[in-house]
Amino acid sequence: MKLDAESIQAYADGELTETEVEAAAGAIANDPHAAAELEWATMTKSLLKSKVTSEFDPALWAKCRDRLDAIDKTKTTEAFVGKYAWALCLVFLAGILSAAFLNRAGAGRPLSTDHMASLFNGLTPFSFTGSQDAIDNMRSKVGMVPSQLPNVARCVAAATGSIDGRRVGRFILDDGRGFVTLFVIEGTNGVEGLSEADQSYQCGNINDAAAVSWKQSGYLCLLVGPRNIAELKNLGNVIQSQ
Amino acid sequence: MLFKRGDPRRECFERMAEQVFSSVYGTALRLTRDREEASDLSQEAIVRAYEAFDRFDGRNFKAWMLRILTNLYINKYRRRVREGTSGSLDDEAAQEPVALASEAPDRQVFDEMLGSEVEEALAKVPDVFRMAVMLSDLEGLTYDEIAEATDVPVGTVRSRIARGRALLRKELESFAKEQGYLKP
Repeated sequence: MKLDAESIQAYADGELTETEVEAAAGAIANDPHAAAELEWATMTKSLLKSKVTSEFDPALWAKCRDRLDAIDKTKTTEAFVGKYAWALCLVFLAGILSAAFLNRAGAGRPLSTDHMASLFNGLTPFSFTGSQDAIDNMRSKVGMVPSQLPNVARCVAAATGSIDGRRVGRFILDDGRGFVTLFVIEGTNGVEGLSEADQSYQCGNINDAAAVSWKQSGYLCLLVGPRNIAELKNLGNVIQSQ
Repeated sequence: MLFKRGDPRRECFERMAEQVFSSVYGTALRLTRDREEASDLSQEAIVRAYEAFDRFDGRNFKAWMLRILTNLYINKYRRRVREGTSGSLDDEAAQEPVALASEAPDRQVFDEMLGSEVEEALAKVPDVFRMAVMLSDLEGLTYDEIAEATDVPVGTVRSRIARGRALLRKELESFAKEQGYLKP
């Protein structure tokens, strides 16, 4: 039997079955060409094994480990997001709802200059018989008002309404020297354009008239009129003391 | 499923991969014949193996790693061929091996050759044959494992190894003659 080159190489590699090995061994023993081919095969194998080596590259291995770390990090994040997606959605939803609620409620945001026109012109007047009646009416509509208006001034007009979701009341007072306007506003800490003058008052100008504001029993009072700041403060002191 | 450092399975993968890494890089280097490409190929193989570690059957990790590496290389090679930037991986593209030798080799002559000279001769063998010879003779894979790694039938592996060794022998002989180890 004459062996082909492939079978001789497979014989050298130990890849023949027992039967094939027996047959191949016999053929090789009787064929000098096959024996020479086997010799070449074994020599080539051993030459490669002994002369060609592979070295370990620590720097490259470190790079591989870094890439494995990066994969782990990404997968951990993905797993977390995947596992708690519903919770994250809930948190976002709660955040959106809270923001909407706070926005709606005002939560102490200062009244901006954009609201001034509504303060002066956007409220609904109501009729009353005297200053005390005006206060009582206002209390029933707005809920918070000073307990009394200053004795030195007479209430000539009153109105109520809502600005940016906040209830507002307005008294126009006449003290014999002209008119001043007193606003009562809920849910705000101040008015844009007025600055802190002292611990009690914020002062400034609104619509070219002097204005002072102060906090009283959870709402904001704003006094505006053709007076100087000191006079408005005095009037404010009277209102607060009553 | 992937594992954190300190996780026993991550540690297990690292330990096994570190042991065969020289073979992975060495094979990549001899396939690509370019250090940068070999570095990229080795890293990619490690990453792929890590991602697929759950599917490792627990038998021969080195054969499994080399299978991933050669598959990556073959796919990359085929892509380059499609893009027209490289030659062919087909068996037919290789030149015919030399005929059977009538004389046995002079072992002493070849023993004197340097590793770099053998590497040079090996590099001249066309890809598919070089790959089969390397996996068999350098990495010790069986024909079945080589068939799995290179995605061809065992018969093709037999044929490639035979032709690859014949081509290598021809290169070695030419080289030995050029260098004066053998008489022309």
